[in-house]
Amino acid sequence: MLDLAKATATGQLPLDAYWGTVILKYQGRSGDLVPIATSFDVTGRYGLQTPFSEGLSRLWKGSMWHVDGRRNSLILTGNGGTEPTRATVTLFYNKGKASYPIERRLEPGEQIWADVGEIIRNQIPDKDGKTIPPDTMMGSYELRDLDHPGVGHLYEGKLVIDKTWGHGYYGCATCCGTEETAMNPDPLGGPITTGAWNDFEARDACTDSWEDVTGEATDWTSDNAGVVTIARGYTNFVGVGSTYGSAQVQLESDRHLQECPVMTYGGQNTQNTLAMTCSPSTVAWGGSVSCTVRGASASQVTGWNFSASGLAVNGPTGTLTWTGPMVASGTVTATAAGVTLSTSVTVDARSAFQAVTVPTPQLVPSGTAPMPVLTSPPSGAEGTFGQSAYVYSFTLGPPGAASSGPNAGLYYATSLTDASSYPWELNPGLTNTGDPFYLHQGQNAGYGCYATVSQIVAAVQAHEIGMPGPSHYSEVAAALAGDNPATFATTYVGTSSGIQSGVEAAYNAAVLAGNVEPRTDLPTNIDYPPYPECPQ
Amino acid sequence: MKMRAIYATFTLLALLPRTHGKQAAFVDLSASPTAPEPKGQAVAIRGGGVLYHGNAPRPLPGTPPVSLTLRRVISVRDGAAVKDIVEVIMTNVGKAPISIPVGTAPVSLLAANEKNRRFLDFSVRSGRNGRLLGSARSASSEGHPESTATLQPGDTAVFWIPAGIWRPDAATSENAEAQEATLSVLLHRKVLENGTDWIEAVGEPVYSQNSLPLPHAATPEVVR
Repeated sequence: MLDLAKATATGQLPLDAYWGTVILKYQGRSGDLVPIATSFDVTGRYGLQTPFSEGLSRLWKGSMWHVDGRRNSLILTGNGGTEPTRATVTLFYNKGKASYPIERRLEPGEQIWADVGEIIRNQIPDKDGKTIPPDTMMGSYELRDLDHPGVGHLYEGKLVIDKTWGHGYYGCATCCGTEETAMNPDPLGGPITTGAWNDFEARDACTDSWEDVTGEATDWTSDNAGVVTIARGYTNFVGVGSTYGSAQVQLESDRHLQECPVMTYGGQNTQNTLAMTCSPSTVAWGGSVSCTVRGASASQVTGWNFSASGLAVNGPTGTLTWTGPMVASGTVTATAAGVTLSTSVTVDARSAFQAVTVPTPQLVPSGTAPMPVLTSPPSGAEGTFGQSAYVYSFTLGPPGAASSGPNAGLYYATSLTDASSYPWELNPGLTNTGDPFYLHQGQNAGYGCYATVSQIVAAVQAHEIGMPGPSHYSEVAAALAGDNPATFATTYVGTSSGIQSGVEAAYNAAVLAGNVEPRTDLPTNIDYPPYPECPQ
Repeated sequence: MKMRAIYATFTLLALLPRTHGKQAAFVDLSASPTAPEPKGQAVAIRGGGVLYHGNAPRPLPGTPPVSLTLRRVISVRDGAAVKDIVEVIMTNVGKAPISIPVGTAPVSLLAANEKNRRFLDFSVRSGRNGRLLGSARSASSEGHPESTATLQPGDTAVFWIPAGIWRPDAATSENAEAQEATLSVLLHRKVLENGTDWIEAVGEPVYSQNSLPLPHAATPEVVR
């Protein structure tokens, strides 16, 4: 018998040590010793008595605590292990809807004492700044070893004291063991040459929740090292095929009446190494590619996809191969047995369509559509002497599209035929030899001070169709050289309307470029009505 | 699909910025056909015209007097991919009412036996390099009055235009390439002439006044 009153009286314990923890160690079986702690008042009439807690656990679920005018509760957990650990005492109240955690790092032998009455009465905040409402009078509690999810280091103790009647009673917390274990994911699969983590999980008998104990697991084993190798929970997928992986872990069992003795639990899962290849990986434009999944059954293939910038094709399910002609480079993806497998396919450039060039200009009579009728005499503005037009016209052959494989439904141009024209016109005053304007210019009228018709026509021609320019014609030519409709038609893959839009956009860009007014070099000495003679 | 359009219309009405006009149409072209022409058919297209001089009218004659404002990008899950849709507000900025094509079935509306066939050709492009990301067309013809909407000055029409389809988990350099979307629209008509069914561009393209980032093409965090 250990008499604590005597130890206090002799100075072995401080006089103000009202509460304490006693640890007894002995060699033998559980239950060989049944220690009891008792305490009596000076009259010997009122006493308290509690048995010792024998086991250590990672999780204790406690019974009721009471705090009111006549009762207080003291809750304890201590580190009974040989290394430090983080422990929490969590008080639950408001019918379990609210909680108050106390977390602390405990050296071996250290404890957390929770005087619940003091916590409530003094409104002591928890680590989140939250307090328990003053009118709270009861609740439950939990003790958890945060650093040892497999085999915990915590022991427990609780005492409820009736301060009025001198009555006290202890509460028996229940250790929480493991009900079952599992190795996840099951199956675990991955592309060859890659890797993935296994999880070892244990279902807690108290909470019914699965907890990760991967860090506690050992003896990671592959049934076929040619398919996967496993080390410290990490699987390397080394060869196409299927096998099993396994591991073991020491956990507290759910035999709580026996203080949750430690037992060895095993776990196993299926491990699949998969591969997907597309052959050939580089293909001529329009050539066929065959993509194949290995390591899975056809029914395990839940999807094929092709993606490239702005493009996506959804493929079939339930088939190991996806075959068809390719017109666009991109990534082929298969989903098999829950594993995503991807590989890229490169499509060589196709033969380019013949580049569109600006047509040879054709001088046409004034007023030929789409140009306006020019009337003589010109007013002096450049546009009254001559005009030009870029009339684009092209034909796109029926768009092509593959009917199967990764590029199924992606449209491409099959041909581009350009039939554009570039007409230009001159004012009749420059072409009609009987026109008064014509007759009054320089040489024709014998007026040496005025420009000749040839000089005026040369200037108008240079403005409209001169090369290298600048002229309206050279502007169109430069625009086509920079953004050629044939280049778009050659390279675009998408929708049929996209082919038309893109090709037409390049033509329209050339039209707009040609609408920028180039420099004019019209002679400054043109003889306009009333056609004055040269000054004397 | 129909329910989504109804819901979207309701939402858009609530979100519309204050304008003098009303929203006259909502046109969802995000599911527009990939081939707006009958299968296996060649197309003949023409356009352009006189190259104007210093007094060139701008925009070119025939160009619809509209402004385009991109309001948002809508992302729709399409299997393992994400389809981006640009929502654009078209506003009549002219002084007179205009009629615009709003039909979503271009193949039938633009068939050679229809009269007064017109369509708006929308193009969504990368703001960075001009690459075409998506296109769609709304069409109208005389025999289908429901395919035409009238916009009074200040009135708006809202269009949903496809802007590409992406695999968010695809680590492609192209995904990071198309960071912003711009949009243009060009009015066309179709003319049957000597046995050839010509597509004719009318005026010049109208460009959106703003651009919008494409979340799935550009957002770094979705590029693995």
